[in-house]
Amino acid sequence: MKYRLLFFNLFAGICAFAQSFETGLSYNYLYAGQWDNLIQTYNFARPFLVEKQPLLKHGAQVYLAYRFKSEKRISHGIQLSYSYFRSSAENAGFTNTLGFSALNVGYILHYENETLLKRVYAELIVAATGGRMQRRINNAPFEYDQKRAKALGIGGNVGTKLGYHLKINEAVRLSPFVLLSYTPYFYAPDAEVLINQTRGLVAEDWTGMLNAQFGLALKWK
Amino acid sequence: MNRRLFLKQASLVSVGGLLFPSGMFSACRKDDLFKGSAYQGKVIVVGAGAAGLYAGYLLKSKGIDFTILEAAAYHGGRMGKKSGFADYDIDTGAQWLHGRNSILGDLVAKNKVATTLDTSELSYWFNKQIVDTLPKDPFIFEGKNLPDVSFKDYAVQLGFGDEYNYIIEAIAADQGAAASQISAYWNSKDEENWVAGTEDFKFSKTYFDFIEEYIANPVQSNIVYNTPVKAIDYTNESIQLTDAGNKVWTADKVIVTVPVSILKNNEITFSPLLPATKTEAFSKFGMGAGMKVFLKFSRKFYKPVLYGGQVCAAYVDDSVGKTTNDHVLLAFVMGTQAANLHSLGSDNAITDALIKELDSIYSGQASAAFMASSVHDYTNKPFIKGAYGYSTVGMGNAREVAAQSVNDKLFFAGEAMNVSGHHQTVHGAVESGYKAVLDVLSSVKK
Repeated sequence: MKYRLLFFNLFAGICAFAQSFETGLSYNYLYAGQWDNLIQTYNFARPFLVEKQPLLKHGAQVYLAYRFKSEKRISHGIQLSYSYFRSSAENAGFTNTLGFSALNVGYILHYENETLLKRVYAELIVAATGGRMQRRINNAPFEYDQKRAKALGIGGNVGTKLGYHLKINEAVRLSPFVLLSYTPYFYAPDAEVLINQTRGLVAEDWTGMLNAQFGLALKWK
Repeated sequence: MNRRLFLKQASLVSVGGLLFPSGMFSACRKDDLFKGSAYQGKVIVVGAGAAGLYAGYLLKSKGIDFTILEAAAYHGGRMGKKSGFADYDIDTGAQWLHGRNSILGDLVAKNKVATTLDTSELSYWFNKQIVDTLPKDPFIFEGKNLPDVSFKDYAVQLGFGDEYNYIIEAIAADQGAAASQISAYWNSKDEENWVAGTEDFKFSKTYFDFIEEYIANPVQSNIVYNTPVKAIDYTNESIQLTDAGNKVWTADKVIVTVPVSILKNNEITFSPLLPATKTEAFSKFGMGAGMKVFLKFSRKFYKPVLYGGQVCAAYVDDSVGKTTNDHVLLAFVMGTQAANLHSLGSDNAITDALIKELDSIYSGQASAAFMASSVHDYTNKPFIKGAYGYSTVGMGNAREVAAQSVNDKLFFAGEAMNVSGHHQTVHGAVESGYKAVLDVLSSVKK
């Protein structure tokens, strides 16, 4: 019952105070220099794996956002997003898969000016990031010492988003967007352990990530 | 906007948005280092142990011209096997794969090489009794902020009495050291980076067979045996190596993988002299005596693992993980104890000393069941001269300095040169081998 009430209050709030709810899905391209170096070293050092491990580049993100006073030229809100990137190489008897998932919780500063640029909006997003990388071998989680191999990390995220509104009806809009962001992933001590099975041999325990996103959002006003 | 126009715009934007970036960026970064830039120079690898073999294996895979100069008549270094002693081949050198999270763990997994997790229970010879637990936990050499004193002195500081001496010795022996020489601080610092895992695996065949099949065989035609390198002159662009038969070899890059004992003893002369910081770093390594003695018995009367012997601090049931009807006990002797046995001068004397101690532990059952022994004294091997490199008191950053390249011409590898916590292991030697090749190619890229 309390969940129904919460749901009702949320939408009642959106309708009563011109707040907006938004969800979106995007393709993500990742550039993380240190991790590229680790995967390259992994490939370099393992000639017995003919099929090279692709760099951790391609992923997807889904997000939910809630914006207050959305009728104003400048408004702000909060956003929760989940991203997943995957890299897999299939060699005879040895399929190695790296998966990196990140959860961002952040603040949105939204700007749109219908007189200046019709249907276009821009956003600045500042978020905290928590991430987890995992390794699977032959589609099973890689375990050693009876523990699942994983690398956790934390960082920050700052991004700028440019979008375009396509009006479906008075309340709903579809919005293609591009987003560029940078994540200083400043504490990920086990990334090299997970990717290259060493520590401190070729990489630092942090990485900076550049992220380019291309996606579609659905907005309720 | 009408519905048709909206759908058209939306689908174009979304398809374009998804396809454009993946195509645009896929060519930006390659998945391998140095792709398309095969080095045209000649590389000589000195030593055909695990590090040298893996360096050669990598060079071969990259299409680089190389030769491995091996001092002995065989390859493998501190790995080896012996057939015929028991109904299975024994590992005369390295025998445990320490952890699965390593490059060799991947190679094992890929090829589904048969291994067994060694879960042998540890017992102690303590106050002239065999016990399964001790009044005090002797595994005190892990953690931060340990003092830079020897294992032995640190144990005394923590109140361990003389009755623990040979148990502490066994723990030091696991590092190839005498308890009086290995540093509690620097050893724990080294181990901070250990990421391979704590489980030990044994090969159903031998560790040597595994390395032989997957790493040594592909490079065997590039190995020149019975060629101890005595001098390396890196004055000019072309490096000249002179072997014991005064034959001169030339190369553009040299990867030195000999045991650190050989470098400590200046058995290879470098011209110009190596930097003083480097020779000083070599001198700080410990590399004590080490031997493995296999004792075959008619029946099993011994514990799977027993720590605390005065002659040999660690006795291990060697048949664990093997398909066998034989009973083979391994005396794993390192440091001062190995030096003491070595000084007895003959295999028979060494065997007698061990059997005598086993008789005292197991009430005379050893001599009654004794059948044969096989002694493998690494101190005796002229191109090895010891067990493996450990961190002594005052070690500092000697390992990092020792592993550094010189003038982008000389590169150093081997278990002792592993700077990422995996020294004293085969997989650590392999890592140092690929790091050296990586550094060779990086130096060319500059």
